[in-house]
Amino acid sequence: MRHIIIGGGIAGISASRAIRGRDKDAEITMISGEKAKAYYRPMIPYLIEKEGMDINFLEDPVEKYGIGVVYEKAAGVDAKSKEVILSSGERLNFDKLLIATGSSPVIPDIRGLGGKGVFTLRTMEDALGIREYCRGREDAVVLGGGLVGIKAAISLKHSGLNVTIIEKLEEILDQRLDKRGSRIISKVLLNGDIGVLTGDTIEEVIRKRDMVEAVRLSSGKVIKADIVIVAAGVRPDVDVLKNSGIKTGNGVLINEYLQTCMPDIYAAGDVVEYRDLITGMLSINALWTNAEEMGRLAGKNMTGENIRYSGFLSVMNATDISGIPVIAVGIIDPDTEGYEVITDDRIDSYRKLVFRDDFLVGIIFIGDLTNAGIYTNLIKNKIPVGRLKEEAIKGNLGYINFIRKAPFQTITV
Amino acid sequence: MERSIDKATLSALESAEKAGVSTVWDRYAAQSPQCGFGETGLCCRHCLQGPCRISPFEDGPRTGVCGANADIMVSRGLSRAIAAGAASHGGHAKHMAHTLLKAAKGEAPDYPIRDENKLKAVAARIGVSVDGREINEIAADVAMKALEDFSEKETPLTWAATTVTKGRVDTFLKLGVVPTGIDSSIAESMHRTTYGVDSDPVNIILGAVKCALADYAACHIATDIADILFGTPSPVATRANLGVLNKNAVNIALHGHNPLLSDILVQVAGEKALNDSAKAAGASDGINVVGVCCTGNEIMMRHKIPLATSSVSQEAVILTGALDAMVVDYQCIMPSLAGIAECFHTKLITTMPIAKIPKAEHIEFHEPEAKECARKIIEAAIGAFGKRDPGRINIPDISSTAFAGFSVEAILSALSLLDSEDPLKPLIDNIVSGNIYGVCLFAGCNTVKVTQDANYLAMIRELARNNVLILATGCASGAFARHGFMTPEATEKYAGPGLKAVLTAIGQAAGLGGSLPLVLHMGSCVDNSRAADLAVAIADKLGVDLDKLPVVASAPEAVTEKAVAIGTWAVAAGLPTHLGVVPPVLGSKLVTEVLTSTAKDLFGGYFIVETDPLKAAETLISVIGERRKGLGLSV
Amino acid sequence: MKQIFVKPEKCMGCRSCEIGCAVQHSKDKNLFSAVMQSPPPMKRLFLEATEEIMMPVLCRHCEDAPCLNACISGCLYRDENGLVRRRKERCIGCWTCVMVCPFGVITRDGEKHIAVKCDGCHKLDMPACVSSCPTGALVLVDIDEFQQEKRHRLVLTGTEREE
Repeated sequence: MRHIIIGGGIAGISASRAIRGRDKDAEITMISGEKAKAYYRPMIPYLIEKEGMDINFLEDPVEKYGIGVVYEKAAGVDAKSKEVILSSGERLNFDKLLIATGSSPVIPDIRGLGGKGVFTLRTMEDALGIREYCRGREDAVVLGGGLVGIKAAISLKHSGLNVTIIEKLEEILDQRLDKRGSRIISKVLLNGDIGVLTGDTIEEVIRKRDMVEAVRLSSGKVIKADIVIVAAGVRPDVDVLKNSGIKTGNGVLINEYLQTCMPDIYAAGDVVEYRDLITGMLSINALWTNAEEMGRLAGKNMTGENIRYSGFLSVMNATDISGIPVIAVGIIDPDTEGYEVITDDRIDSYRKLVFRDDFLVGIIFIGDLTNAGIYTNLIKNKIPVGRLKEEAIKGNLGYINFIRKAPFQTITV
Repeated sequence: MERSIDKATLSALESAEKAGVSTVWDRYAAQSPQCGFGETGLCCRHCLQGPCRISPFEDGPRTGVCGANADIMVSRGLSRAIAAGAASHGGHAKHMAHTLLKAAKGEAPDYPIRDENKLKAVAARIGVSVDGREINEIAADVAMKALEDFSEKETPLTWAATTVTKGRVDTFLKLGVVPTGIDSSIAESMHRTTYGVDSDPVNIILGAVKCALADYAACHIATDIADILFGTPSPVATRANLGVLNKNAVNIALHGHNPLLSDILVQVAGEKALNDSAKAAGASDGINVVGVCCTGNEIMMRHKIPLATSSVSQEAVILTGALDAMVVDYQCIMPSLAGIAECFHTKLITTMPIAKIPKAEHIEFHEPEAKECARKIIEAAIGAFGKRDPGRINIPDISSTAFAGFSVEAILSALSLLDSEDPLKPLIDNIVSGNIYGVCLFAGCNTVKVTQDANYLAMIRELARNNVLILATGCASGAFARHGFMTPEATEKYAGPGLKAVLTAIGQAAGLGGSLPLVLHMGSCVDNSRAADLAVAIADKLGVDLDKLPVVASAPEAVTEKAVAIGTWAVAAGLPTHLGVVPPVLGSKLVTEVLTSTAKDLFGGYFIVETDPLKAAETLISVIGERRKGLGLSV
Repeated sequence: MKQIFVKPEKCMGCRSCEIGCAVQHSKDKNLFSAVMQSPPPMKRLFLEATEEIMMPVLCRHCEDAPCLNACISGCLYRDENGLVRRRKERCIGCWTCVMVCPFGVITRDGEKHIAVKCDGCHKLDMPACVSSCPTGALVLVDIDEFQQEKRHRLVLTGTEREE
């Protein structure tokens, strides 16, 4: 069997691991436009502030799973002849193909944005570039108040820069948290001396000679800046599928076995558009844990298993903002009828539970994460809460609540 | 961890293994690890809404159902332990006082007043008139005074107020810890620690100190009356350890605490008829009485009765296969004895209505017919002799010489040979000169939590080398006796030059032909009162209070609630007091702080908890140094 | 392979396992020093109870471990004995593992800012929770032997449950 994986991110890596786990003779070729050893992508913001931090996999999957790597961009896919066309024109044929190209940062159309001093934060190279560039500089502006933007802002702050986050929407972390949650995090950022401007965006990057000097916002405000980080979201990288016949919408469309419309071609990770487990809506997401799961299942299915993928949770975030732990899963801010929302807002913690009928469909835990995994599990596996609802609301829910008569509970050691 | 460093004990444990009998060490292993809540004092069963417990690691609920936090729980638990200790010594002392009263009234003819001088001295001290009165009248008054100390009076306990320095009385009054009744103090402790009474941890501990001082008074009563009824001890030479059992004799071990039983048994065991009967049963050497635990100390120092072993190794005596009867009264008697005795031919005989053990033979002891009861007990032992299995006899051939019986009176009389006018002067002079760097009282038990005797021996070597005069009581003295530390040879071997010179001078003056033993054996655990008396005498002589003396105490292998009570009154008396096992108080930082630090501000004494014996000895030596510095003495 | 078995019917809720666990994960590994340790050591298993059942809940070192799959920093790994363990220095406190553990047995060390979980007491022959359990509610068994024993019991008594 000859497997080709386009993309060297976590979806591709976990697929390789799964393939190798089931077929020790399979030929696995990974096509990666990023010339770097496998690394943990969510860790890149730390590279900005921490010198020499190692974010690579401890054991290089390329060696561990015997993967042949081609460091080149894939230019296209010929589904009929089952070939991948490299940018060099070379063609590689496959038995099974996995599209795991991931996503790329969205670059808004802003005057002066092109040129020195403006960065995205998507790759290790980006992070190291920022680190290098911000040395000796004073002011940074981060465009976008999502998780990447906030992480970048915190790292820049730790590196000694004055930082301002500019968010077009009313609140930062829109979609990731509800209004109350966003406010809490805004306050945490402000307390950490990070500026947060919402309902505003950059209209122009003002340069002197070719260096960034300031940004002018829609509100007219001008903010001093030596460096601008663009963290305005990502979009699936589907360019490679142009003219391939493989169906795409916002991302690659797949069936429940992670197959594209071509049975031997699978897709996994950020590039995929699939249904959200809870909302049931076609969605894209750029979450590492989802990509890992999709890659793992795709890899298994590519080697003959038939595992159904029930879908991802577009919102399933765990993070820590300056010492404040945050978890948000599922439908966290329903704007239609039919939901029951219970919140518990205290000085040091904020907990929100969203129920629909007999199911827990969303949570936000800030400050106190006790037993969060139990709640995630309820959401993900659509377990009816029944009589446990009250316990869940009180925060008393534990694993014990799901055990009745099991004579033995086993723990592998 | 090794179980013991006593070879005789280890040999007996081998016998146990062979016999498939479990001992206290096996049971400890089976109980390990022990409950962490219990070990840190963080569980409470004082009401039916409980049990409650608080995690020592700042997770989970911080209070019990009633709202009691860790500090309250720990202090209540400690207070109840002290109350239990005081109740034990109180029971012992009350038993003595009742018997003295019976004796005075002629209702207990087997208990004549043997030490009239002591009776008169005690009477004079407590304000009972002596001149021109019949001995029995004085005895009756002393007994009544003692009994009065048990109920609640309007005035401080006689036996507390008349036996400590003026400075102590003032301190106790100031802190409101003067007990006015022994039993009432215990009752008060129980009251204030029950559901919803005292919730101020420091107040609870002060209440516990009051109870501990009641314990002190009880100990003192017990010592005084024992001396009155059986004689004040003076030095005797005897032997200690399992080797004192005699294969060719009916071996009877007396175990427990109160000499009311053991002293009479020893007296009766010398009777010809009984010995003849023993010989007739096949025991060519007649009857051989040995002691175990504190009652062993009582008969050791008054009758030269050899000491078989100490409390933790009490089972070992039966395991020799040569013990025909173990006769017990109360306290520190493991219920396990019945099971072990059953595996051998040994008769376990209980004697006290409040201390029965299923499967033991109960021969109740009544003071009015004391000797008659004692004879019955001995006959039962002789009866068991014939059932011995010779194949299972393993008497380790191990025992040491031990000089015992250094009552305060005996020490003063030895010192008076150096200075008949002022017997304390030589002692004081040597403390001042530094020949005696300080004094350490070893008290308490042996515990399974420490290799038996290991802490005692490690500490004494260090302290003696640094010229610290060693006093010992209870099972602490048992440990030293079994390992040969109560001998002039030990003085020769372990004492620093100054201490050696002093002990030799006194020994020679006393006509012992050599030095005094390295450890001065002061008696049983109630006889810690003797050590207190000595300290008070030194303090009064120096014109300072107890909390200034270079005197320390140590219970390096403590077990019982009694030891907790004694330790607490030692602290209240102003002594830095070392504990070699960790008491269940660490769950409360406040209580730990109060015991080890605040107590110093209040009483001068405080607890030093240190499980490493060498570090403990080092600390005690430096504490003695501090005290010497305070007195302006050389360090 | 050895497994920790929990027998809920034997659990008295004494929490000795929790203490044993915390002590084993303290600096000096002894109760009295652990009590004095600041910040206090953290337990990795949790006594939980309903009206019907009571038992400690602890990490199962799952075969397809959600925490391990989700770890974004390369901290969690499976060791040679099958235990899911931490490379502490790699943990950045992102709490993804806390979010996905279906047993709720991964917690946060707020002080060190890292995730805390059961390490199976990999240095000990007998995990601390097992040796602390006074009733045998926690036992360490060889899984193969256990299956055999269970089958044996099934044959003998017609039930897998212990009598």
